[in-house]
Amino acid sequence: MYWNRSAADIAAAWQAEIESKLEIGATALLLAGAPESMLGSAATLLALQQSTLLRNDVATPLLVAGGNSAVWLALLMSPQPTGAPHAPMPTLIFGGADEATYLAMTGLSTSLTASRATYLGFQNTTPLEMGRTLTPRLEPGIATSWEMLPLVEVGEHPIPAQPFAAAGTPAPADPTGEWIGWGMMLFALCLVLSALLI
Amino acid sequence: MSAARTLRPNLFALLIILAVFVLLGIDRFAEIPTVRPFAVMIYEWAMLLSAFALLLGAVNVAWVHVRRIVAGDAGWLHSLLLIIAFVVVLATGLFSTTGVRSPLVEMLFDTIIAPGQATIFAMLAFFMAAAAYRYLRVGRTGGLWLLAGVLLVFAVQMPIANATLSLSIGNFVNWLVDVPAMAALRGALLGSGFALLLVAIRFLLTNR
Repeated sequence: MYWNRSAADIAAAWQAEIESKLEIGATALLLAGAPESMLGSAATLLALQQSTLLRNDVATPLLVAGGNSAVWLALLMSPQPTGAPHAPMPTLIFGGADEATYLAMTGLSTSLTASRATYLGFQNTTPLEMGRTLTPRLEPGIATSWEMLPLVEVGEHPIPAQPFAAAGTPAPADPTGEWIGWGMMLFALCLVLSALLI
Repeated sequence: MSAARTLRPNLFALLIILAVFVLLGIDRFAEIPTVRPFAVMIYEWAMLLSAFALLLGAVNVAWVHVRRIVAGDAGWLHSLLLIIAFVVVLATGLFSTTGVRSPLVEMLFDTIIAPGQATIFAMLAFFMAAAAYRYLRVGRTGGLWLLAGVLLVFAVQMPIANATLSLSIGNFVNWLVDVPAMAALRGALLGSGFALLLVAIRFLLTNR
């Protein structure tokens, strides 16, 4: 839904969360959202693949994924990398089918929410589970609905750029990023023109 | 180290997905009568799989929190409360003759789940107000267009303004909402759908 919800951005946000939690010795909490449709989970699935390829840590983060479809199960079946030692896969927790249950499950899934809330830019008075509704663009792993408007300024980059560089591994280049964006802009323009002319 | 890692695509899964894709494509576009029963069967399987995923999700949550209680991790009391609620609702539904229609299950839904969902939805008003405060400004890029559009729609929707404005303005605003705005919205939805489809294909080909 948002401009930063690409697989690379989701993987980058997860990596930043894992690294920050490793430093304080806590369990990282990765959020995959509770999308209403199967297609909405595609970016999350690809992000898990990219994260699996790039991680070098020894952490076992929690991955909360919900939704009213069977897609969350696909996160269990991400292919394992071969050829070199790799980081442990995240522990998957079902987050519930609806938004309210998902928020409750997010709050239950970690006992160190305050540190994460600070990472997201909030004071400790803001519960973790509410952070995603207030600033959904800070959590690219969550497929938010239309009515959750981005309350972060356009053009702001809340996620640290290239967090993989800190681990000594370059972020994967996404050659499809540019032409997909322009293609979709052109497609939307054609639809508007066709509605006006036909 | 990570450069040496590779992901091997699951060819069996790819073959199944390709077969289902072709079958549903034929059913949608070619409309061959012999294919229809197979397509309907696949749709039924998808619904069955979703129900199974929900059941498996409940087991997954219970298992995670039981382990947390046994290990005595931080927050184990919350996990215990979750397990107690889980068992109570499950037992009520299983042992009641009316199943999910039993009064206790309905009471639990009406007093806990439904208010929770309503609360989340009710926050929409605050999101809209905050977004309007931040984005409906003439000085911002595109803010003038947003402001003009919102004022026009408001003007048509409000009964007082609607009574004083001419019918042509109302028709013009309705046309704006029904034609260009709806076309742009559908374009965005279709565009994001195509983009996600491409992402799904990349996922199946293990990002290669």
